Amino acid sequence: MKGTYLGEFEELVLLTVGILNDDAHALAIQKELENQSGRQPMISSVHKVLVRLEDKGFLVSQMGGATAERGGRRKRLYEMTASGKKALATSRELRNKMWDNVPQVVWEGGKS
Amino acid sequence: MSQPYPPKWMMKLFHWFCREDLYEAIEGDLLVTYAERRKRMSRLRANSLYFFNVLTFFQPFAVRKGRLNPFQNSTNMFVNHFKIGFRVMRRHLTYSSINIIGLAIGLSAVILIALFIKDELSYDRFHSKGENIIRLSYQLVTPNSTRRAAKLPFPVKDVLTSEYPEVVKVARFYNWGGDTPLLEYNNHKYTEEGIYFAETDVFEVFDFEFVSGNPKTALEDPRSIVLTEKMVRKYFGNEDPMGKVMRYKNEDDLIVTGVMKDVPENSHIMFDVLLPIELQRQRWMGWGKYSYDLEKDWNWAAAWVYAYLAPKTSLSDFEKKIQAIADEYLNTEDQQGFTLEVQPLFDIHLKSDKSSEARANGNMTQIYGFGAVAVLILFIACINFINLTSAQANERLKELGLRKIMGAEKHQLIGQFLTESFILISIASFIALIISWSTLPYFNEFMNKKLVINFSDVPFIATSVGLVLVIAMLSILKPSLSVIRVNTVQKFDLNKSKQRFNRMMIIGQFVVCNLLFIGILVVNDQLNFLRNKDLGFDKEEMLILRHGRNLSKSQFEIFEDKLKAIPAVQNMHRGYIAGTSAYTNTFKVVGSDDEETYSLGIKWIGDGFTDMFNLNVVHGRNLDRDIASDVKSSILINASAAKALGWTLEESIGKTLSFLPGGADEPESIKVVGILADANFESLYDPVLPSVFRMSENSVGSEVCLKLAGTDNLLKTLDQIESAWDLAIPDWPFEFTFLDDKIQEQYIKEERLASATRYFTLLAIFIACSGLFGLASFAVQQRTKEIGVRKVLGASIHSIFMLISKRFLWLIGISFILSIPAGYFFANEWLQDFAYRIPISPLIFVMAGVTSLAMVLIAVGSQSLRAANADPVNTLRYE
Repeated sequence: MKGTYLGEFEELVLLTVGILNDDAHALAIQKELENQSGRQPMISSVHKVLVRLEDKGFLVSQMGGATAERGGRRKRLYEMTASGKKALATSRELRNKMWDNVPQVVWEGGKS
Repeated sequence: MSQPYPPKWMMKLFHWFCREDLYEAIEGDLLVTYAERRKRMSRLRANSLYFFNVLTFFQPFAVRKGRLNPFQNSTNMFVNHFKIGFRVMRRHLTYSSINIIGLAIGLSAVILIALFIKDELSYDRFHSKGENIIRLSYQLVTPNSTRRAAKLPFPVKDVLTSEYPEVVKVARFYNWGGDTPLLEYNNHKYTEEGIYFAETDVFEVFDFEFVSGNPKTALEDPRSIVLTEKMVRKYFGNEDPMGKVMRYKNEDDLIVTGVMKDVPENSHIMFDVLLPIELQRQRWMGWGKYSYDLEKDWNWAAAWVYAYLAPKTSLSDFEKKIQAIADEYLNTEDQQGFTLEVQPLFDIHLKSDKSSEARANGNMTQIYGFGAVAVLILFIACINFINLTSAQANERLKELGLRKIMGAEKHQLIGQFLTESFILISIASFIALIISWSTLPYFNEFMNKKLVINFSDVPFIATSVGLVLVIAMLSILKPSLSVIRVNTVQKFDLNKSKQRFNRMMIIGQFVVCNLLFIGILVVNDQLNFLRNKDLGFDKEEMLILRHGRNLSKSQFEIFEDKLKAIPAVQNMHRGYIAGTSAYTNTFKVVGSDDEETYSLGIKWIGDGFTDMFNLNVVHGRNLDRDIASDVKSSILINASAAKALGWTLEESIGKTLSFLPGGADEPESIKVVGILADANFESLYDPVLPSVFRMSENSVGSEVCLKLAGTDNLLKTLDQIESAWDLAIPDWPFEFTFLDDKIQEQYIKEERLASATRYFTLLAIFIACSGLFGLASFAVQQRTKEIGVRKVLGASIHSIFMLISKRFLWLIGISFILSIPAGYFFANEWLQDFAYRIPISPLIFVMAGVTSLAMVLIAVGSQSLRAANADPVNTLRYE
């Protein structure tokens, strides 16, 4: 069902919202993503993912923090919801489980 | 610095489409980025990046509801229109195919004509300095004639470059038609008509491309030769020609110093080989032996002279200034009336009509003519389209009504019509491309062109697509307006207004068809007339052989002796050949009070000229080689000359004229001893040229004419002549033409016009008739029941036939009457060009009328007959 699945980019954005904690708005997220991963997503992609995550219920938002350099426009500040946290946790668990299932020999590069 | 903002319209655009709840936050982000960028980069760059950012938000997630949705709905409707369009097309297969084929044929004709016109307009445009290049030429006005020639004397160059600062460079070309240019390399030996003389400046002024060799030095040495790639293939094959030695006219050894790309087809001057003008000069000076110097000869207008002017030179001022040259060097006591003319390079091909042009020119009339034909054909095809579409629309009122009731808006119905006509037009365009692509070789052949359809030619393709769009719009205009205005609930009554419109369209179509038809008939008749007109001299079975001018007399006598042994050769003549072009000169009457000068043709004839060409001396006596004074100073004149000079035939004998022969310093006096009957030696565009006939002293000329006894064993006769030639004149190749072919060549332009109009007229008539066929079958279909009832009540086949055909016949009658005055006007205009022309006979109009009537009867009659013969049981069975 739509709403439970978390895409890779979605997951990164969600984590970034967590990292930024109380100043999680699109522009900051874009910058933080660049710092963390080195890739620079387009601002529209970030907005798109934020809208989608909010639709899925992983994020909630509120308006605030108008500044002069934003031309008086307020930011939309995002905050993770419980289900967002849960989704991140699920995703991590799934990976861990699968990591564990990979036989040791693969990591050691025995076979080519 | 205060907060920078991007342009208002960008922000407005964003505001317009962006979702309200997202708008503020996103724009804030964008503004921050924008402000940062403004610190780092130019305003323009920041603006365009901002615009790009805005565009990236044009995605479903950010777009406000109602902004993208109408598009979505129309996509669905478009799919629906497409589907319905195809269904309708399948259901009315006949009409659709008439529509498509008519339009396709019309479009392909338009494509071909457009290619032709585009090519004609592109002449000489490949010269990058073309805007500032002009050609100089002269005009000579005498009391009885005006002569405009494209050439000027050689020394004009020096005067132009030294005395006129606005002249940057002067380049001259020269090619003498009377010469026999022979070129030889390693047993390859041909006369090359394409040998031109030129000079280094030619490459400075024009953009002729070199493949190897240096354009700056290639023509510097008088013994050099520059070839085009075509000539390299002909003489050298795969060999490298550079530095090789070629022999010119059996005399001069020339070194190949350059290879050029072939001259583009769309050049007003066309050559295969370039030799230095200096070579010709030296040849005539005997490499220093004689004093004649063509660079000092002001009497001989032989070179095409081009000047590259400094940018922004006013042509009219320049033209006024250079009249000083005409006054100083050209106008003499013996000859007044010269003026110089200036012509932009780009005008030469289409707007110049002078004697001695470098190559046969096109003309604007032809462009307008063909353009008109293209427009007319397109017009006819569009009318078909409109008529058939609206006839069909009538059938579909129920469907439209239903769409309206379901809430379709006007623009949606128009969209439906547009989609449908686009489907038809796209198919038609595709077929048109195939047709024009496959008929292009034939078109090229009879237009003597080398056109190609170039799909990478962006402006051309764009224009074509634009044209197709416009046709689509225009053709649905009428049907959409009338159908959409219909009130769904009322019983529709479209018929009245629609039919009036349809009728007018049909009349228009057939007026055009009739005009084109009258056109073909007139052109054909005139050409037949020209072909068969008695020119006043014998031109059949005449063979023309070309040789070098500097042939020795003894060689010639051997040839003559050999020819006498061939029974099929009846007669031969050295000197002026009847029917070819000749020079004109200016004459004065000796002993008359006035100082009038007369421009008369002068023809240097050999012995037996009158016998050879079967001409009559109508008064006085013929010239006789045995009378010493005849050789020196007697002439014949033709009757037209007597008239031009204001003499009766009797008066003329014994009168004396004086003229300045080319190259001479002293005028010569000549006495009239006889009058020749008029004959049309020049083309029939002009009346008989008043001419004098003078006996050539000893010159062999460069051509000899043989009269054959018959053409039964032509190949054998030619063989015999060739072996005689090879024996007597081994160092010149044997090349021949027939006199009547040569004369016929003068009318090649008309022949082309004739074949082109013939084909296009057939197309136009075909399209118009197929349209009528479609309309008639619609009419029949709509009235099936009516006809059935009439038949049941006792109507005859005849009356039903008339019921359907009558209104079409009426229309044809009206259009025929309308086309008579217009046809007469155009035919008359065209014929004015000819001095000898056919009268426009009423028969031509009758034939055009009868033919279009016949075509219409076939198209409409077949449908009417089908309706008339249908069994009422079948037609009335429904219900």
